[in-house]
Amino acid sequence: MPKNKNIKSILIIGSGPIVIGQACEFDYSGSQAAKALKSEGYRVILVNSNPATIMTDPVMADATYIEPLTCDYLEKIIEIEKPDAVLPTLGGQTALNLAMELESKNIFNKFNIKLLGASADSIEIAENRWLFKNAMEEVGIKTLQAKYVKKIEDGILASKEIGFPLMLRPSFILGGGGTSLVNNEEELEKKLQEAFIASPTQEVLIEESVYGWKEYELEVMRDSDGNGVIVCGIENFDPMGVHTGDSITVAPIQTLSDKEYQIMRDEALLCLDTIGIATGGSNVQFAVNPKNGERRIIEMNPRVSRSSALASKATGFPIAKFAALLAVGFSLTELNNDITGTTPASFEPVQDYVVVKIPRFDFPKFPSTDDILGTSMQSVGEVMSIASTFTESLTKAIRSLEIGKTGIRNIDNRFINLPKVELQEEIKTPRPRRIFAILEAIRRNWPIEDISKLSKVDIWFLNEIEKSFNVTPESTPSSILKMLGWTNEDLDSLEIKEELEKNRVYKLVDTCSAEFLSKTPYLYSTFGVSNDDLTTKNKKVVVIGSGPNRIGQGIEFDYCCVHGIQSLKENNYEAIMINSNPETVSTDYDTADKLYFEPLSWVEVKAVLDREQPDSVIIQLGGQTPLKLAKNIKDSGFEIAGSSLDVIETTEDRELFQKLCESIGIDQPKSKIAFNETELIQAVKEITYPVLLRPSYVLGGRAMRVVKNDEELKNYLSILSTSDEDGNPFNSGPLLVDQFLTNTIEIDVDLISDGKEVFTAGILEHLEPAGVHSGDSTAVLPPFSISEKLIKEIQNKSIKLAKSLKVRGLLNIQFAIKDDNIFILEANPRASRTMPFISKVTGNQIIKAGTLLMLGHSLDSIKKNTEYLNNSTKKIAIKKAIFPWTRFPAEDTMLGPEMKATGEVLGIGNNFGVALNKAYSAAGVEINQNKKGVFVSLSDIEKPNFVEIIKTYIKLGFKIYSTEGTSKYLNQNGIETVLVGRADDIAPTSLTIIEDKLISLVINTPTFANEYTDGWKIRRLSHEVGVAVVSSVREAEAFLMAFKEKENIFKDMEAIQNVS
Amino acid sequence: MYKKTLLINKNGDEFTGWSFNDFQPTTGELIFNTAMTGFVEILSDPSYINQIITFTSSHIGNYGMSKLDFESNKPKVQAAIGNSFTHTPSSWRSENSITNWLSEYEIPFSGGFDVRNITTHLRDNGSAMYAIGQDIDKESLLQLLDKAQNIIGDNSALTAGNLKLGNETNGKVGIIDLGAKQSIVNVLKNLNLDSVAISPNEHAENILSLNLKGVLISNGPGDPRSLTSVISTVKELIGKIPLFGICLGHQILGLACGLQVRKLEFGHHGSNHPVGIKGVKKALITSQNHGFAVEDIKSEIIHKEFGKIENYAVNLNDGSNEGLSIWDSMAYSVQFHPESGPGTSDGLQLFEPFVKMMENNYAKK
Repeated sequence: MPKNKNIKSILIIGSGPIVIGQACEFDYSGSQAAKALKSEGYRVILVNSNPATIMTDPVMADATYIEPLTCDYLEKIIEIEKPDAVLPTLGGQTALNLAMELESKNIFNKFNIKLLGASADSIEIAENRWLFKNAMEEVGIKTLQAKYVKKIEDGILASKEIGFPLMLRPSFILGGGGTSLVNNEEELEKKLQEAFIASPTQEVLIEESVYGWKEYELEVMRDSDGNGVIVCGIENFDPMGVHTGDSITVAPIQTLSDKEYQIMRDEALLCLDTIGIATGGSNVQFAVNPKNGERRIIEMNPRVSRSSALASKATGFPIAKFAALLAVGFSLTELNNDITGTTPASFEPVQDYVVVKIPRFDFPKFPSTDDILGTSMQSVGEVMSIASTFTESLTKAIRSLEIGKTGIRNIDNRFINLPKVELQEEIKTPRPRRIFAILEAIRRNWPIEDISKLSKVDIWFLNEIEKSFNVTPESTPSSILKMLGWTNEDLDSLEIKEELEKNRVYKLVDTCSAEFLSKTPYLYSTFGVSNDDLTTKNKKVVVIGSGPNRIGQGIEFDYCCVHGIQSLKENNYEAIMINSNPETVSTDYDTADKLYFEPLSWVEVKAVLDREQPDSVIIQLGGQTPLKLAKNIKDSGFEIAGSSLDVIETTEDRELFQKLCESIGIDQPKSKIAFNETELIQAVKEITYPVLLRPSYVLGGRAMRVVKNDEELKNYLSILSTSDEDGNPFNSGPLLVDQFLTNTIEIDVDLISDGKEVFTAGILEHLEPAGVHSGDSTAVLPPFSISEKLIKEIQNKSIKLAKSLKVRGLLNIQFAIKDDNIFILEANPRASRTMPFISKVTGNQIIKAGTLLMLGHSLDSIKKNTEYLNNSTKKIAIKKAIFPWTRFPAEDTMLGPEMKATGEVLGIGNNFGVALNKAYSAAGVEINQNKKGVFVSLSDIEKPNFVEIIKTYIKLGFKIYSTEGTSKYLNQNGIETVLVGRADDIAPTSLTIIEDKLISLVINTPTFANEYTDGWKIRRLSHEVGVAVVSSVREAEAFLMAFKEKENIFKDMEAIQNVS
Repeated sequence: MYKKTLLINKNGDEFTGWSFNDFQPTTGELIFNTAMTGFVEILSDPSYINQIITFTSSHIGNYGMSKLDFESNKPKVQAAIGNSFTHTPSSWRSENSITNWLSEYEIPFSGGFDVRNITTHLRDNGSAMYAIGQDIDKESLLQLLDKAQNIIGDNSALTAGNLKLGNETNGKVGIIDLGAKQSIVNVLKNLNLDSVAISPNEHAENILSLNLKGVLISNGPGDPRSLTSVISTVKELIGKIPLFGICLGHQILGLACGLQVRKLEFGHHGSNHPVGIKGVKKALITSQNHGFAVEDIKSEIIHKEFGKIENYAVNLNDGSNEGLSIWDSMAYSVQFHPESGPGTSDGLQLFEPFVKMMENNYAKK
């Protein structure tokens, strides 16, 4: 069916900030969709609260709204834009939920809007467990048998119907806690009793257990003619029980026979037909009993998902683009396969390679959380690898993780000396490190059957890995060695190493196993004899990507890479991308001129550079990952684009940096380096408490702490030593000791320079007090509370630093202001987390300009010859960080110098108050003036500082709630309070008033993070209920401005195309 | 120890792989198949007689071998090559590894090839006769090639059939067995139709005297143009009994109607080819295995005996003919494998016209 001509404009709903379970794969899908629909001549309207996205770049749509993703804001946008249709299936669960909410408020009807992709009814069936179950059973697709019971007797009866093993799930427990596995009748009664007690409604779901069954996902595309194709089948290495987002997964499916696979395929298509998914991409998940092939459908997502992104990258099939085009009426037979350029989209991709995905975790940042993996996703990123066998691909994926491992054959110190029973336990328990425990067991030559029994990992995978340990390099052809996952690092013989490297060839991901000629240079390396593509003699530049997302290095850096690529293409360079992250826009097949999907470890990067012989290599855009390769790149004779290696070294080496700052008159907080405990104690003595401590060479403030006294120092050292196998906190390098400046204002400066001239892209003021990591803080553009004079001074110092460093390209500097004195905290000669946000708000394309500067263009010529830097805005923009607290219920939500945020949102407005309102709304916290309640809980030392601001709140009609200590103090100072009990007292308590929604703001100055104090409970509950928590006078003042502007938030909405 | 496998053709194109098992050198037409599952079905499909099959899938035989997947009584390919063969499979269905199974029947197989290199070569240069051997010199292989029977003119379909379905013919579907796949029999069975095998040498009048409901012309190996006796038998059957041709059977029906059949450059071998059926909105994802194709009918042909002959189906990848219909004479055919084995179930609906024709025709009797 040709495209729908009744529709002229389409609103695409984005997925909002990066959170665990919903990351930059939705930037990739939204971007693809927007591009596709725009090129078909539709007016595309886009809404997303996440500024660090390519999809919200002004060129991607006709009208882009960076506004909170809530029903109210969407309704306003619909009122302004009057779209003919809404496409909700490309923005993850967020977009789907919003569409359902808008539907229930009758908004679509009211504005005569067509819902594309999936109807509200079908979304409802897919999302509602029981409706879904019934729909599936009706057409003969088996689901998990389950029954709700309220009595022990009914539970026993149900167990007889369903059969053991069983899962007990107490109803209404947040985050799925209290779930237990019951293997036999003897255990049943006791565990049922426990489950009834755990459930607030004394109700338990008894469910057939498929724990340990094999897990599969099929990515399905369907059009309005009923054409359905399976784009990709994915098999989980980790069986049922571990969330698929946290599982190692493999494509294509490896251990199903054709007969079994085809039945699954039929059921997946039937599932879509039954639910009534008209068009687009969906994924259907199955569990299969390894003993007899019995199969259960687990769930179905009526939208493009994280797995779709993976499937898209694994096969080259542009799922999101087609989902958008199918939604407006095209059929699969009308669309061409983009990758081959010659065949239709209505075929099923095949692979002649194996793809392995491994999630990346950040558990050390959440010390109160056990890293056991379960049914709630906890990983923050992922890597994908492509190679000729499962084992080779697994090795490449492990290399891509950037955790210091070079492949499957590395000896892992955590397990090498582990007694048998403990290793067994490690293999049994799904944790991020389990794969390495399994490898250790294989190295120890344990029977594969035993490892499989413990881990439930299919024996085929383990057998394949074992092959690698059964050969010697001397008696094995080098191509076979490579096939078995051997790497350079595993070999002693230089000869064999060279032989191995000589065999490296680059093959295409082409959707068709080479059956047709393919024109898209999407490449991976493996061993072999022929290359699928040729290199050119063009002027070319390689951009090294940022690898897997992790806290501290996320989508912002991919945004920068994509802009770098765009700049290269716009200025007639051949742009070559290397990256290992499947969630990104940078690894989309049509972003760069050529894409190498490879680990960002030196061997692989060098191989690409050797092959391409680029004119220059860009390392400033991908965060810390490419910087680590800088020295190798230079030593191998390749040209690093822009700032020289010296600049990196000067900014990273404390002594060199100190010297430079001194010589140009920029103050620094006092600092020392300590190589052992004695030096540390001496350093602390000289600098005096409070001090900021951190291990050297860290990103995102890993293990960084503010320490105020001897006891806290001891505490910190003991935490460091527990994470080291030898218990020595100095093992991984020296500790950096900095003077911690209290009551400061932190400033971020982003600039670009050609070495002579400097363009200041933006100066940001942080809202939170010093000591909160810049990635976690709320940043305001432009500064809102410091004088013009100071701003000028900051700018001058920044320019001075950039010039003396001879920065060519990008520079990010962090300053702290204390009593009008400016101190420099650090400088990073690379893209920063804030550059995308600044670019978006000011309209200045600083990454694109910066890329040209790296390649030797001058600022002058860029200003003359491009439109990159000719913009400005009068808007106030506030970036707010988003935290994964919901996934880590044991953690304190208090912020510190170690970064914990996974993503960010933007609030933009004509004044500060509006912008702050929007930033908080976008973060899921409504600043609701109507509640008129402020809960105050202050530490003794802070009490006097807050008296004035609390009085102002009272003047504005707020009621002040507080517990005894704070109340007493405030009363003494003439402030009337409502006294509430402590957390454990009888109601009303500090907790019940938050739960009862009497409170619109919590002012809480934390004492040092002892776990599970009242403060801890208050902060967590506030997060869960959606109440803002502040800890400083500055923030409390800022909130006053927000409260004042509450009524004006909807008056101030503009597409960003009009903002700058 | 790994042994070097050598694969060469007369033009001197050569590829090397590595094998663990011992085998004798042999020759065959080298083709590639892009299916990612269905190895047992493919290896036991008689259509692959005299062919060396290149599996493009990274791993071959992960889930082992099960008799449930047999398309005939044993492996029928001349040899199989690929990237990595699994010796230690994993599946509750598995009775044996594919590698043991192939070894038992002394079928050469070898992994360790740069499969993409071979596929690209075949794609660009067309399929050809190759010799494969282990730890062997080129000259010996070239000598073998000299003696080899070329695929052009190959009439092995006359002896490829081995369906064992008894002698009772009354009310059954007669399958002209040119190397028919078990899946065809199974699909008919699921449609409550019993089958009986008909020898390719059987005369038309004999066939018509067997009180069959209909005749299915099966798939099979080799060059359809060399099967002149079968072609004339089919020509005599058209219009007299419901006819359904599959793959080689389709080509024979085409030849019987006077249409041309040509050799394809490298053929269609895989489980993912989209096919459009006349009058059906939905494209089918089909299983394919053929090196020859019937000419495309540009505008409809009115045959003086059989009536209107039309294209029934078209390959959406390259536009080649995928089916013929001669509804005036109760005959039609498809180039792909509607019975799957391996492949999707999308094609099963293609048996419906056959069933309908048989019901109508048989009821009249």
